[in-house]
Amino acid sequence: MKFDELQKAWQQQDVVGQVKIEGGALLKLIRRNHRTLEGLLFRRDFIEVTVALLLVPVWIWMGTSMDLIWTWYLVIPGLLWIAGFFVVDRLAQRKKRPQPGDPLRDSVKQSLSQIEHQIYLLKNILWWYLLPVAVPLVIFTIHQSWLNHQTWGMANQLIFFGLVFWGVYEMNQWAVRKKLKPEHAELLDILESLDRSELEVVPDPDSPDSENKTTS
Amino acid sequence: MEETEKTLEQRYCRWVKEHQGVIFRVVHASASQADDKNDLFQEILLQLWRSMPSFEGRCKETTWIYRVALNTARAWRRSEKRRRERSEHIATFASLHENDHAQNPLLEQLYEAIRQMPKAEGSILLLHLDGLSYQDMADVLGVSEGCVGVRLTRARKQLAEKMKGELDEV
Repeated sequence: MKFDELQKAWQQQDVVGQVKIEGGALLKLIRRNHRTLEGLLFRRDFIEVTVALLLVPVWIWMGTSMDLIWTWYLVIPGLLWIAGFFVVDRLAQRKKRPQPGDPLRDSVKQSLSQIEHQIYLLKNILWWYLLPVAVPLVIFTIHQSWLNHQTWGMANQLIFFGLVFWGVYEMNQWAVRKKLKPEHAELLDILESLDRSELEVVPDPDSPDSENKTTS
Repeated sequence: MEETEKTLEQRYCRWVKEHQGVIFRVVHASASQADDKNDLFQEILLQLWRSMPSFEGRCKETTWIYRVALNTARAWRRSEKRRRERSEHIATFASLHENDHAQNPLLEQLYEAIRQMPKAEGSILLLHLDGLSYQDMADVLGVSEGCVGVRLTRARKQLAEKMKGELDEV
C-alpha cells in the first residue's frame, strides 16, 4: 500500500459515529470544572502557607504554657521564612505555567523549566526548608540540656531530630530520583529531538532528506 | 472587548462539534486502553475549555485545537491521580465507542505504530496524516518548516519499518 492510500483511509475514518458527547452534561461540567480548578490551585497554595503560619501561634502557645526558655522561639523566624518562601515561589511560578494553547515546543520547554525548578527546590530542601527549622531546634535542645545538665537527654533528642530531618530529606530526594528525573528526561528527549531537527535543516543538496520532502 | 462566558460557551460547543475528529485521532494515537482513551478524551475537552480565553485568533482554530490536544496528551501520563479522582467522581459526559477500528485493522496497526514512536515523530506524523500543510505543522509544533521536513521524513521512514509488508517504502 502507498502512503497516500493510507492517508486517505486515515482521513475517511468515521469519527462522528465513534464519539459520544453529552452537550448539556459537558457544559455543566466545564462551568463547574473552571471554578473547581481555580479553587483547587488556590486551596493547595493556601493550605501550605497556612500550615506554616498556624505553627507560629501553636509554637508560641507551647512555649508560654510550658514555660520554655527563649531559644524555643528561635524557630518562629524559620517558620515565617518558609511561609514567605512558599508565597513568593508560587507567585513567581504561577506566571510560568504552560498554557494548553502553546505550540508543542514552547509547552515542552515550559514544562521542562518547571520540572527543573521543582528538582532544584527539592535538591536544596536542606537549605530553605529543613535548616531554618532544624538549626533553632538544635540550639534550643543544647541550651535546655546545658541548663538542666542532661547530656544523654540532649544526645537522644538530637539523634531523634536528626533522623526525622534525614527522613524528610531522603523522601524528597527519592521523589526527585523516581518521579521528577524520569519526567525531566522524557521532556528533554522531546525537546532535543525537535531542536536537533532545527540544526539539521542546513540546506544540503546531497541530503536524502531534502529529496524525500513531501507535501500535504 | 472581552468575550462573555456565553459567547465562549457557544464557540466551545462549535469547536467540539467541528473538530471532534482531531481530538479523536490524537486520543487514539496516544492511548491504547479503552479507559485511558475515554479519560484522555475528557481531559482534552476540559483543557480545550480552559484554553478558550487565551485564544486571540493569532493562529487558525485547528492549529490551536491540535496544540491543546497534543500538549494535553503529552502531559497526560503525569496526572494519574487527578485522572482517577475525576473518573470516580464525575459522571461521564463524553466517551468513545469501543468498536473503534474493528472494521479496519490497518488503521489500528497505524495507530499502534504511532503510539510506539517517539512523541515528536508521532505528533508530526499524525498532523501529516490529517493533511496539515508544512506551515500549519510548524505552527502547531513551534518549529520551523525546515525542521518539519526533516522530522517528517524520519517519521515516515520509521512508519514504513513498523508497518513492513503493509506500507511501501517511502
